Amino acid sequence: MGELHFEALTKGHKTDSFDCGVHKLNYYLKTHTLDNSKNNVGRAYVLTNDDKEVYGFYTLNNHVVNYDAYPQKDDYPPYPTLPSLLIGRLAIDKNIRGQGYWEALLINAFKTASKSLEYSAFVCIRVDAKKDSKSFYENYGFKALNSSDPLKLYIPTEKVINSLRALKVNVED
Amino acid sequence: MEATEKLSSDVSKDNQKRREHVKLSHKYNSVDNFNTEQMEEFMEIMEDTKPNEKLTKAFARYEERFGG
Repeated sequence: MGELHFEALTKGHKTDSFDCGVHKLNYYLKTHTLDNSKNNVGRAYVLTNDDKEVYGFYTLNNHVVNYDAYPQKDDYPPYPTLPSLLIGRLAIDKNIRGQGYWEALLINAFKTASKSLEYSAFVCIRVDAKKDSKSFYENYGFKALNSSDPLKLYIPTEKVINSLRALKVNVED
Repeated sequence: MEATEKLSSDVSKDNQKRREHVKLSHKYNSVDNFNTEQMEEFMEIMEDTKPNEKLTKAFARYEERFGG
């Protein structure tokens, strides 16, 4: 397998052998991600090795949250919707589970998101969790957007940035 | 990358100022005048902006493993 690193998905990546254990996600990676990127629907980023074999991926796309549904809405002008960034899909190959790559994928998504703030703006990062992944996201500060749909999770952009800044402050100290 | 971090830092500081402005000018006159409910709301808002310790540690683990 070799050393793994992150990069944006290109047609040169090998996705054929990727298997996260969920057919829908395998199929999405192998058939839709490149087209979605080409059509500016979403961007995919992969965990890969020097041979371009894919062992994990996530997608990002622009999204919105309804103003009235956003818990911190009073901090923002009352537009009908507020901009957000959606982590649409996030999966790792079942052969590398238990090695911290779930966390690495999420953190890489946060770092990509923080870079994109230079060019665009969003008040939060969203994810539509599954029942068995909800606690994973909550562990990193995600909360339910509203009580009626507890799997729609969000984390304020500012919290992500401040958490990253806290690391820099600690390093500098 | 430095420019990104500076911008992120500026955005964060601006957001903090904005929140203070919203809280103190539009919603209430002063923190000292908060009733219990207002203080709980204030603390909730502040909680949503402060760093998440687990997330900060996860950033550290990531940078150790994959670099900055």
